[in-house]
Amino acid sequence: MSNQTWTDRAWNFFSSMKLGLILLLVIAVAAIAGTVIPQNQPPQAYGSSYELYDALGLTDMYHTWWFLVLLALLSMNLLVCSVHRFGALQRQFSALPAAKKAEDLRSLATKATSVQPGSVDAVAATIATRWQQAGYRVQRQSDGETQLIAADKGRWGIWGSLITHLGMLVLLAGAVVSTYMSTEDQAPLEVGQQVALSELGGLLGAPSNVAIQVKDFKTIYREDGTIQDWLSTLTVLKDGQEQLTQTIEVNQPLYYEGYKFYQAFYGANMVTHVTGPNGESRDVRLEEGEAVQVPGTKLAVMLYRYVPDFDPAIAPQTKSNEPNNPRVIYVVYEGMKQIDVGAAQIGVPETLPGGATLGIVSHRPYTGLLIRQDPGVNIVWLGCAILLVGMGLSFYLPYRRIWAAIEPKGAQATIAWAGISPKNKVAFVDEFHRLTETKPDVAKENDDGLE
Amino acid sequence: MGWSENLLFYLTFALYGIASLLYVSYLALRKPYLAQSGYWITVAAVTTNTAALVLRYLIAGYLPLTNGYEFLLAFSWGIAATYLIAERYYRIPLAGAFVVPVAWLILAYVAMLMDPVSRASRPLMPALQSNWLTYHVITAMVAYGAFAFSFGVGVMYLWKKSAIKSGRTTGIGAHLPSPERLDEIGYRLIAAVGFPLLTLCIITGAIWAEFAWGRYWAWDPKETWSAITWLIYAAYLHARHTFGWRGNRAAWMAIIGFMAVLFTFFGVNYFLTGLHAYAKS
Repeated sequence: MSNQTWTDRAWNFFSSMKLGLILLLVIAVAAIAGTVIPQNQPPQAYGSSYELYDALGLTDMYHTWWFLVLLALLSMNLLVCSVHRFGALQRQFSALPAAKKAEDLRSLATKATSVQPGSVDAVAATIATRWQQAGYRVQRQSDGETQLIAADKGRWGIWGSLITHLGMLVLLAGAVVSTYMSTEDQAPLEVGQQVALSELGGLLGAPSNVAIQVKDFKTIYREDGTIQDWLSTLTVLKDGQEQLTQTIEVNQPLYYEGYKFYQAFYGANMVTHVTGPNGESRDVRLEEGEAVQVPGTKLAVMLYRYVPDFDPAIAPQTKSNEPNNPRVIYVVYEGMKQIDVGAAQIGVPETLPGGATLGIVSHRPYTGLLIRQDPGVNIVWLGCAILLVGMGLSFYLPYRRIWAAIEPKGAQATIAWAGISPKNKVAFVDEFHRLTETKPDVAKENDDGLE
Repeated sequence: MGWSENLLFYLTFALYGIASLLYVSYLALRKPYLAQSGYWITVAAVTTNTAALVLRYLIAGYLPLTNGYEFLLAFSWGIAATYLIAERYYRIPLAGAFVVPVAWLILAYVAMLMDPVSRASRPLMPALQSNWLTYHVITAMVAYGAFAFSFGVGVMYLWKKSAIKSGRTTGIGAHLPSPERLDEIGYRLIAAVGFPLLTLCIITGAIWAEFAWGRYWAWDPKETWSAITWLIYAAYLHARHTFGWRGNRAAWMAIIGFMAVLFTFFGVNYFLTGLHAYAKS
């Protein structure tokens, strides 16, 4: 018995709209905190507040337990509300609105009265036909001498709100799957290199017989030297057999059995050989912007930029994307001071100030791949689709109900009309007057309008 | 920017200014010809605004919605075009005095605070080369236009209410449409236009992010603020349907909602940092 009360109480708690409204606003306010406090920064970034922030979960707020509890409560609320309302919506959807007598119609907001010549039956038949032609579901019944008509339209709109909420639930479920089941890692690969997915630590549970190989990688420049795109031609290998070859670029990833390969970053390794004036030498792999100390001197060489088609007239821009005259522009520093600039040919040693030499042995561009596997994505898209269908029904197919009560008055019939469309009042008033062939209350409209 | 782009921009800016002046005069004097001319000047402004966007499209070679200047130009277009359509539908020219100046102020912001370099068209970074970005920004533009309008209607509502409360029978307040009508128009703007399109805007943005970065949602400040705006309007709709929050409360929520829209657009770029940083300037 007490168990019953407990579940009843829980049910009432979660089916309450007040809870839903409070949750929407609390989540909105909490989310603001996460945009003001920088997220996922190293402890130093928060200074002395770090311990407090860390204890409250504010350094990774959107994944902290209390934020997830709020989302879980919202999900429970969505689910319980949907179940709670299902029966009533089903009844409203399948049954026509109940007939209403003239005195009941007077209490509704949108109403009118009129008098028409003809018998009650004839007038009622005309109205019923007119409403049917307007796409309404019509039901006629007699109440003594009176004829009562009830009709409705747009009943699919009844489901709009419920479908919207279910879409939101599916979306949140997809987000949970993404959070807990997605895996990702990055791989910088030079042309010709390959890596098995299972070798990438971030891709937990990846098959060990699937590998990705880079067949080609190009950076496409515009005339003004800015980068237009990066193109990587990738081959997927399974047990060493080619499965699929495709060129990817930014915004166009490759898909293979649940894994997506994105063009995420790029760079180049330059195998560099520097020899000091004393003959001491050093071999390093450098990327653009990195520097190496020249042995036995106070000098350092920074490799500024690789230019595929060097032309002194437009350097450091490139003349074309083709490696017609590949050079590496370097800068020689003494302390913080630039003392020399040059453009080294690949494989040809350059003499630096003070008798040192710089040799760029090779330039090996690499493409930076982001490899991601996320079983939640499609669930999220499904949720979005359901959400949009629900919203479409809810906002663009408003449910409308209309009634008429026709009473005899001598040779004529007096008609009391009324209608309801809670979600689209203004447009409905026009439709109501069209359907009832009545005019809006002029005195009231004047009060409403401007002119 | 070339002279033709500059010409179109300043022409649009001037026309919105004149239309705002006419509508505000109409508010004070209520001569119908003022509202009439305000309407047609706004039509002219939307035309030059459209021409400015088309010209930018021809120069840049992509839909002009990627830097701050382009989006503001589109934002003012969205607000004014929404107003023109709603004006044909609801016939409330007084709203022009509350809505058209918002479009003008947005271009005033461009004219006064944006240097020529940041207005110029720039080559697109690779991540921005996506059709989803276009859908993302177009839906944002229409949604923001509707929210701006609902904000104007909310202000009108509060004005009207205070006029009724003080019993004034003359002046601007007395000539505003009835509170019920304003309340209903504000609601329809949010429910039928703003909210569904904001939803689409967020979803298309998520699809684009999935293609570009492999993450449909990253809690980047701009994303988060768009979600906050969405939550505020969702709360508005629920409060209205289940607790019958109308009138003052609804008007205030429409005002707060539009503040969140403005913060999502301007505030995030200037106060917070994130992936959307390229939209700055």
